[in-house]
Amino acid sequence: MLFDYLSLSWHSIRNRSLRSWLTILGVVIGVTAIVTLISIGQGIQDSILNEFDKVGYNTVTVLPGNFDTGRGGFGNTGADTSSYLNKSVINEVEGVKTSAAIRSEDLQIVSEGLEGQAFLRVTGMSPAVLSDFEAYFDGFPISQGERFSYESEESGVVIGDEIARELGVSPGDIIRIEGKEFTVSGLLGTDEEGNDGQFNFYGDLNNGLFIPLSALENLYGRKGNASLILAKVFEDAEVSEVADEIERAYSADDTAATTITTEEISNRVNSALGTIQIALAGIAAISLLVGGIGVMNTMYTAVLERTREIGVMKAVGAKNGQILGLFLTESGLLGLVGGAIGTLVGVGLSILAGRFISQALSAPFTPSFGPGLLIGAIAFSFVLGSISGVLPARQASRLQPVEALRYE
Amino acid sequence: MKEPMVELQNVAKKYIMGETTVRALRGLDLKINNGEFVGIVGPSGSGKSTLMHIIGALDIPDQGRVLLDGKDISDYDENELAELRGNKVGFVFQTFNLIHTLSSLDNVALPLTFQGIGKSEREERAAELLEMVGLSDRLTHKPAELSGGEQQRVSIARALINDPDILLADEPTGNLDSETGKDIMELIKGLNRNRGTTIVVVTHNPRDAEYAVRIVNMIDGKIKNGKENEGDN
Repeated sequence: MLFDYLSLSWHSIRNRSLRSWLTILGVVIGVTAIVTLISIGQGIQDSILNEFDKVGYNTVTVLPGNFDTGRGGFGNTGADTSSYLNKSVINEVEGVKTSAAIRSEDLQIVSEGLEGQAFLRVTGMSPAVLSDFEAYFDGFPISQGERFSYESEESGVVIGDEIARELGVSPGDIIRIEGKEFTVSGLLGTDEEGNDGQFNFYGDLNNGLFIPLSALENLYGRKGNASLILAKVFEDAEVSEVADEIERAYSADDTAATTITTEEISNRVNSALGTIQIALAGIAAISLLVGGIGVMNTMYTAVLERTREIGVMKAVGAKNGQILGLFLTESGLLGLVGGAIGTLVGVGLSILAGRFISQALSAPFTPSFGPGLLIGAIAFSFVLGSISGVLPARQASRLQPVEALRYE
Repeated sequence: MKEPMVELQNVAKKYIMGETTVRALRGLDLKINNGEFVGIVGPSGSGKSTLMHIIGALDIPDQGRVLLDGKDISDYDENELAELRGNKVGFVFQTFNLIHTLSSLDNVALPLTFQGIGKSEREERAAELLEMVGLSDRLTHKPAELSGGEQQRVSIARALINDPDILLADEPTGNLDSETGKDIMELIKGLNRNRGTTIVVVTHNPRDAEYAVRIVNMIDGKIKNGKENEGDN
């Protein structure tokens, strides 16, 4: 019976070819918008979450100063604007497994390829940075040469590829930082594993110079200070409690410190993305609603146009429920075809958009379509079509056969 | 005595059209026996079509009783009436009323779709009937590709697909030229003769009425007089 309904519906949809396709187009546009927006939103969320996973949810970032992280921190209430943290305080906090210190200073740079001198941001990293917190720098990807060595007598520097071009240096060349010679050991860029440093927690790797923290301390003094500390918490410890503990420890040391956990960042990013996604999907849903109204309009027209036909069907024995089923099948079919085409177009469009996004961000990006999204979009369109057809179909089913046959 | 196929007892029906009430049938009695060929004639507005709708279970009377094959259907609900039409009645209309998106074969098979009969059986029976009405080479044609006479043949085949107890035809030749109309009436007469189908034809056309064995004359919602056609047509 269902097959018969489908066959009859298909005949009448094909007969009103242009109008049916225009109606379907309305559904297609709505479904396309929803599938595209959700798959791109989901793709963005997935790729960000993936980075958080790499960094690990047991990582706590400690920054000097006192600002609200939304967690109700224990920072110093005084107006402490110090830009340094004492890197040894963190080691006294229970629950901290390992920690690493990072310190950035603007220093004078001289190189052969550079006319005159430049003041650039030089970042010192303690050995633990690259051994335990590599993901924080998206793998600290080296495209040419190698990382600097902490053991070697000779001081090495790793340079972002963009700044290296400006300085006119390549691995093996020598530059002077605050008058001291450093050998360029490697350039940052895309490494063999495909890491490109685009998504990292530090900032712009392409424009940075990186040296061992000890070398920076030798150049600039203020030993034991850090401008950012990374800590890994023991697996069985509660990350947020340890973070509070860290803030308290610094507070006791008379330094304002603010901690951010990976989970906090990830939650914020997630909720921000989630809100955007809901808003976008909501807008797309409006266009789908309009598509549904289009289906309803078409079905009302169809009931009017086919009043006689309904009368004939009733005269030859069709029951009210069968007429209802017939028209519901037809409107459901309009929704289903629209949904299927819309899903296909949406997938195509988001792949295309994904390429543009990749190019714009110069980072690989893939939209994410779960089977739930695809099947859900098609099923939802079918249901939407059917629901839009309920009122017209009821009207059709309740027609009196004699009056329907008399209808001109 | 044999039970009549159709029995109407004091049947009345009125319609409200805008502000006026039309008393289409005004207390009418009629018996049609199994195997009869009845012509219902009368001027426009005499209630012919309403009578046919009530005989064919398309409509129920406001008053009086309708017995179809011995069963009182006066208080049947819409679905019971639909089932009855699907099983016992065949309709032929003046304007053919074929579904223009469907082929001849599908049009003829349509009533069986609503009976839940499978596609192959439907098509087999539809093809047999189309062959019987002389359209075995028009199975896949759509109504628009057929002449008026051919369309009416398709509609007769459709009316016969459920093997009805009674065939009702409302001005079956009204939209056809006289030659074609004659062919259609011959076909209907043949059904009555060869298959024993009970037939009721509503018509304006005196030439069509001549095919009937009994004429029922209607005027102002009542039967004026009935007469037997003389001779054997």
